[in-house]
Amino acid sequence: MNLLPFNFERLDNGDYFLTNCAGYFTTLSKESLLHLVDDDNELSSEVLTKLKQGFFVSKEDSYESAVGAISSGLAKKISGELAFNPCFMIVPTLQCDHSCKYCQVSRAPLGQSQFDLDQQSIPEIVDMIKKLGSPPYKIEIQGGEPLVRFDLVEQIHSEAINKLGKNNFEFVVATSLSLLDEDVLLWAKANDNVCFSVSLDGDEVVHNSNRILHSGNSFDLAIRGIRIINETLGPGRVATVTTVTKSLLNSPQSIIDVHLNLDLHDMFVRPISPYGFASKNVKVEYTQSDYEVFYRTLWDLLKSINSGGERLVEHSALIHATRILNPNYSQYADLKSPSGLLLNCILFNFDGKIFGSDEARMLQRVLPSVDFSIGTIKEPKMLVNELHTRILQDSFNLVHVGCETCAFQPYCGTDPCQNISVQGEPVGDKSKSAYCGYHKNMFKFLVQEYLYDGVTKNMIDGWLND
Amino acid sequence: MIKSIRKDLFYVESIQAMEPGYAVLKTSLPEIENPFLRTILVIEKALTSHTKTKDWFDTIVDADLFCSITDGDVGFINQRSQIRTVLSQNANHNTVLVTEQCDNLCKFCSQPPKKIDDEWLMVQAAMAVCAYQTDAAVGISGGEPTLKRQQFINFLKTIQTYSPQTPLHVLTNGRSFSDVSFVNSVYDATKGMNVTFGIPIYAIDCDVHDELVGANGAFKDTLKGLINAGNTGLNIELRVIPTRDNLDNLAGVIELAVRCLSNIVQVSVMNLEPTGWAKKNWSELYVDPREYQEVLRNALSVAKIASLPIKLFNYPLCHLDEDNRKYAVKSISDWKNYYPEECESCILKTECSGYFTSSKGKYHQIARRLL
Amino acid sequence: MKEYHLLKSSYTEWVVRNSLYWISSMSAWSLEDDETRWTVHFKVYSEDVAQEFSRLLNDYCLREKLNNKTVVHRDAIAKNVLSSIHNRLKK
Repeated sequence: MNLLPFNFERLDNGDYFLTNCAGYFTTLSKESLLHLVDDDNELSSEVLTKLKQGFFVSKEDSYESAVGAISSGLAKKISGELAFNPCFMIVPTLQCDHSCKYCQVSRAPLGQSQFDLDQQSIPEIVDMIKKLGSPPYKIEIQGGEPLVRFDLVEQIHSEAINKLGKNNFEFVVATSLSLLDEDVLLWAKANDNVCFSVSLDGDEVVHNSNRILHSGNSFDLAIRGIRIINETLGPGRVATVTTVTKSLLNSPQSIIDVHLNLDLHDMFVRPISPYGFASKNVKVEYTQSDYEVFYRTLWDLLKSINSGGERLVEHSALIHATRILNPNYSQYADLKSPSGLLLNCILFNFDGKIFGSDEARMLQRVLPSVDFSIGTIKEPKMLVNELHTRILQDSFNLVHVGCETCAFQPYCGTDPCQNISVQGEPVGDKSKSAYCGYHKNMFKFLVQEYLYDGVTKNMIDGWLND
Repeated sequence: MIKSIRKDLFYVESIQAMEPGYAVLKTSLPEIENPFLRTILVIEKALTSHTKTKDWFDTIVDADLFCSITDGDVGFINQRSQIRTVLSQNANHNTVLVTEQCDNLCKFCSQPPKKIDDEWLMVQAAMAVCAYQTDAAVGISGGEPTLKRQQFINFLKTIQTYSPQTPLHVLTNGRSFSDVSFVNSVYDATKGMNVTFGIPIYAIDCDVHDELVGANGAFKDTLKGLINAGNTGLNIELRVIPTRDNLDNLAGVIELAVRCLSNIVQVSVMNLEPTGWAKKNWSELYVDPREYQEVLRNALSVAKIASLPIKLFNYPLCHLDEDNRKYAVKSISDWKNYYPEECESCILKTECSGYFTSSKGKYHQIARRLL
Repeated sequence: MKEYHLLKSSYTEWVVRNSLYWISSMSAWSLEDDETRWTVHFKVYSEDVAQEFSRLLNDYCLREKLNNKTVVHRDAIAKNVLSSIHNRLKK
């Protein structure tokens, strides 16, 4: 029997989770793992069959085949993750009516039009989208608060209709909905490829404590906006993002209630990211274990709601589960290796510069002496900026210290921009990385739940099969 | 004698004098010679003085045959005075046999190999496809079509030249694809065409696979072949037949397709057909689908989550759990397809594939009609 | 500050350094050695740190054993992968 390369992680119940570089996974008792590594012929035939099927071991005479299969799997994975398939982000303005405590972008106060996109550049932007992408194009409008310059948003959309074709693109507007009015609604009603993405951080108290609007009613306006969208445009036109702040940690039930009261059946819950504004203005909000405790409680609530027959999907969990179970999934820019910089995102900034991710444009403001851009709309330089080649080369987690012995490596990713922001270089010390801590915890938690709890397995399978 | 949905084999005494091989069948007076095959005019009633004939085509009188074909179909005359309608517009599937030689000896082989030099068969088969000039898919089967590599390349190139619009579905054990240079030649010879290779793999355990296909080293070649073909860009339909011997490998095969193989356009899980050698090995091989619905459910789920198209072939719907039925396709070629009496009152009959005509007696699994 | 001794005959440098890599989040540390043993100085020491360090050492010993048995295969896989990707890019 030939032992083939694999990584393992100890689970809370004493079992071990094994994976290999082709992405196969299995679990073994500690006893079995020791027998396996010692190669002492003490393994049961059932366990051996399981291990052979996943290429964790091979018979002497099929060693070559096993190596061939694993190599093919790894090559397929890497090829998939190297694919250039970007989402196109456009920032029409940095002006914002909010001043959120954890904001990662240097937002500009209202009335500062020098932070707006030059509308003359819109045709060129859409030309570039057509050149670089293929239908269905994914276009996302970010800010600041995009609705401050709704006229530009409309213009981008109609330019896209002309040049890309009405049915060939998705159009997501990231907004707090504080400025949602009749005009915006009428426009969205007339264009059914328009969707909204809104931050919803908790109940009124929690939401308003971090999402600061001068009038103090950010929550009310967000709720009002969501309700109106659901009524006027129908379901599925607005999605939420929940950034977990310290004040939410004690009340996971509240974020669920807020969603269900709005007849929303999808959530996206994530911890605060240690970048940009976030790390300066906000002291270490909470530890990874705090988040873990919060998330476990949230998860128990989700389980009882879903098994009671009501569908409520938590998408960050779904993304992690998909990464394990679907080797063809590399669309989530923040969880792939090599990183999603440039490969998964092209961002056209208000100032005419082009970036390979939202994080890169934030880094630009924080570190103005380094050029994080890939040129400008007038003069793009996709291949010329060496920084991107360097970063991409350095973002294969397969060979990073800390990742190379991690069982979750085949499913995980890298965030070189976050590492640059917090640790000063793209690879980073994983033991100190919030990115590593968060994703490792999520993977470990979900693996344990999915593989050992039938209720969770049914719930996640249900979400995956939708 | 079970009657299939479409009869494809006809005994015609007057054929005895004709050379075996392919021919274009006309139901109306042929005007020009077919560049690829000889022409045979088929008429319903006896020759009369009004019947026009020419010296470059033969004439057959057979009402049965006449009613079963469409003008331009292609038939194959054998040495037993029979003519088979091989390529017919009336058929739900058309398949052409290109060789009877093979380097495997599968326990369930439906076309047991013969050690004869049948190079002429593959050449004629290319002619048949070119003569038929269809844009509906044609199956290419054997034996092992790629056994004689250069012949197979020539076969492809002929069709590439004269009938590139015909989609081909080639059944092959994929062993020859372990040679990358052969794969590249095949890729070149199929440029501009729509060709899929149906390649079976029965297990991850090499001994289980080799045992089922009756050849040592088959697994090694086939796996390597699958990897080479997928990487080069050939379209692959991965096939697997659940039997008692490989049932515990089914999940592994699906996961192999999901994680390690490229360009798999579809995975086909196929119920065992009681024909050829499968009959003599039936009791060893056959496992009632009812026994493995959970195994099937898991395999289907693994494929679905990875967005890998997967279909169940040759399973009557009453032999599948309700949630597995949506993966079943109506797949049995009409010339060997029938529905037993019990099926008449079944509410799912129109969506169901029914049974093979060979499914009778001890091989038959009773239909459990759904009301 | 706590001193922790490990025999070199039981633990290689690879095992010790990899284990210490992950302890960083729990306590700052420094490593010294002489002929026969490693000495780790932990700034913050507790039951938790001791337990976690012990587990990490065990896991990395197992990994080291595994790596030694599979290094040949990992090389073979790496070679295969590079040539496979090379072929894909050519098409």
